[in-house]
Amino acid sequence: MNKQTFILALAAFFIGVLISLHLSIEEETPERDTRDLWEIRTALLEEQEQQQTLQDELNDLKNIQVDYEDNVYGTQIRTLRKQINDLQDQAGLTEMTGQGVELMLVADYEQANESEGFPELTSELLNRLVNELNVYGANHLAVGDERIVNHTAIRDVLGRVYINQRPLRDLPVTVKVLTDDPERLINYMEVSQSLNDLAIHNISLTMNDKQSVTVPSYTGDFVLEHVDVKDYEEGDE
Amino acid sequence: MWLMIIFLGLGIGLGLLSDFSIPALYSNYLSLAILAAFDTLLGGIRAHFEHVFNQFIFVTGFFFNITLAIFLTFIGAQLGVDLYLAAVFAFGWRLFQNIAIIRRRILDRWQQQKTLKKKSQSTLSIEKSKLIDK
Repeated sequence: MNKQTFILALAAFFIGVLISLHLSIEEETPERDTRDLWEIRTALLEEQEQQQTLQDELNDLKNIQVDYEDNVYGTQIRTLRKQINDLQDQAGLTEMTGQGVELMLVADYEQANESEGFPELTSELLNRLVNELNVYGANHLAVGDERIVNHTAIRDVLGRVYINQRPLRDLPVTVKVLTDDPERLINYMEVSQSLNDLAIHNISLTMNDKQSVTVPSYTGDFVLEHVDVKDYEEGDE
Repeated sequence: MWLMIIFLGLGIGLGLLSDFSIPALYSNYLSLAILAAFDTLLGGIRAHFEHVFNQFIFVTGFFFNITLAIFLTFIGAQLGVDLYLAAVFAFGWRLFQNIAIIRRRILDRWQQQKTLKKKSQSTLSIEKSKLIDK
């Protein structure tokens, strides 16, 4: 056999191996679904629940639309007022009263060493607490007399905790929470991470289930500089 | 020529049969290596047709080109510049040139063989007619 041809053939063989390697790359990219039946069922259930909530929301919105399209002037005005009130409730502009939980953050002197000084509540602890309360089903929140709304900032400013640009007073601090199921919230909070974190900082947390908790309204200004309002256009108007 | 095609198929088959695989991260490098290898192989075939094939140059060029292409891709990835496009351009250009030259050589050879056949046939017939005349 001609030696030249054989070398060229060997090079071709090498290229063939490279090409097959390239093909096998493409084959392995699609991710395999390795979930078992139980996991798939759970995922399906979650999706169904989400669909249900979305459907509920859609139905509410459709009802509102029907009310608006009603020709009676009074109905339209009533719907508009009702919606404004709802939105104000959601935004935290109104005082809310209902069943809920009252949390007391108290300095625990027994646990504190002399060297550690007076236990201090930091913004990180408070942030974590608020986040956990929200996760566990809090509808409306107030720390001290400051209502927590969507854009409330909890910051450390020169060693003091500021909420809504106003300083929070020293311990003890009351946190008022409105929730649909106070008992469940308390149970969750009993084993929460923030309870441990507060204990590390020598702050004890006591929780009381209350039939009537009043959360004050948000008094500051809403800064909506960076919020765009898109015009809603409807074809047949 | 046929031997090369057979070996190419053999390589692909063997590679597919083996369980060896490369992470998708390196697909860029691999495709460039394939391009470089193809370029060198076609260069070799062209040299073979032109009777200037040097075994040593071919083997070293084969591996050197592949390494260079991979290295260029690597550098490009590190710098955030698509430097591998330079290799793609260079190899692609040479690939087309080499293929054109190989095609011309093959066609030349084919035509030469055709004319030779015709000539031999015509001389045969002339000789035959001479014999008949005698």
